Amino acid sequence: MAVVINPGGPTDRESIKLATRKRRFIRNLAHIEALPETMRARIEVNTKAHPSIEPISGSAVYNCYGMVFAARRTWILHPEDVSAILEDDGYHPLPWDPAAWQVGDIVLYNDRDGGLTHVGMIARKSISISDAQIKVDVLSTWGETGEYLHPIDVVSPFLGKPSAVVSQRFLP
Amino acid sequence: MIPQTLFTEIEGPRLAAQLGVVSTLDRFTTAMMQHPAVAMIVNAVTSQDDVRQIVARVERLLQVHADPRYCHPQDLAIAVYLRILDVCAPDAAAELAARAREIRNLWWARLIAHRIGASPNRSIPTVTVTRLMPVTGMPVRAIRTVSSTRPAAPRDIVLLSADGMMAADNANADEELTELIRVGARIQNYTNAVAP
Repeated sequence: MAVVINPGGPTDRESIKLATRKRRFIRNLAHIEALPETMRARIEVNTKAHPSIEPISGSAVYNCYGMVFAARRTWILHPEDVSAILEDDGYHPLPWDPAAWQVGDIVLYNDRDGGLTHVGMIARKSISISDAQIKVDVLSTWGETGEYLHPIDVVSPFLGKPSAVVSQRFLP
Repeated sequence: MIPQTLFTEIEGPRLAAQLGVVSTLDRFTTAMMQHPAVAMIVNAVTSQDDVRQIVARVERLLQVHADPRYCHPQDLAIAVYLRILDVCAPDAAAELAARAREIRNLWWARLIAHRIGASPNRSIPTVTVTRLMPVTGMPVRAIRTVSSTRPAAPRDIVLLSADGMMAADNANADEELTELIRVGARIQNYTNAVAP
């Protein structure tokens, strides 16, 4: 098999046609499912390490970017393509204030250098009676280890920290 | 001789769950080189016998029958070994990468194999780190020198410490060494010395 110089590009047979609203191609690759016993083991490791997370789905077909921006169909391979989506598809930043966020808004996670590491979708907001704080739960896919519902700031250390919330919502 | 326990760790479900959370190849290689088990196995590669041990391991994993409907259960371990070989034994890595590219139910291993195939014969710069140690407590200073057979070679540097731990616990050296880890580094020579 030849070396694919740009895996997931428009000429790669394992990519699907995926583009921004402005027709910029988004590089992507189909990921084959994991063996059920393999996925079970991964979920067990993750839930033991982070007891507050709840496994939602055990699919490896899509990654976090594919879950949020490609309807769970594929892996989006490059953070710069995610930047293109945010730019072309009308996402705008929201204040860092849970009161301003709605279910469906997108949480961006960054590393210490500011590089994009992960994304998730706000799935639930609730008021904690004990401390009157707004609790935010996020749905996100942890690579090929499954999709989880988790508190906004509880992710694997390799996925960075929540740094921004963006939305496509607007009212005319 | 690389301890069997390290191979068991690399091929076990814990490492697959820990490293498998990332979404891009760059993040994967960064996370891999930050993982203590991977650092330890890189540190353990000191001779051609060690390289042969890893090569044999990859060959065995590539021959394991894996249900083609599912991702290869040892995909991540093969990816880790290929990356280590790419640093320590580029020729062996290239040969195994060509075989990995043929196996369609590999994911990370195929992505790494394509990257290895796309950059053949690259030179491997090396790094020497000398760390001054206080009599007690944390290291106080780290000095590194870089050498390369090709000045414009990618910064693919070796990063190891004598005790197998990442050499990134010094405040002054932290950023620099973290960057070395990020690029998948390996240190050729590491020396501890007692500070005056």
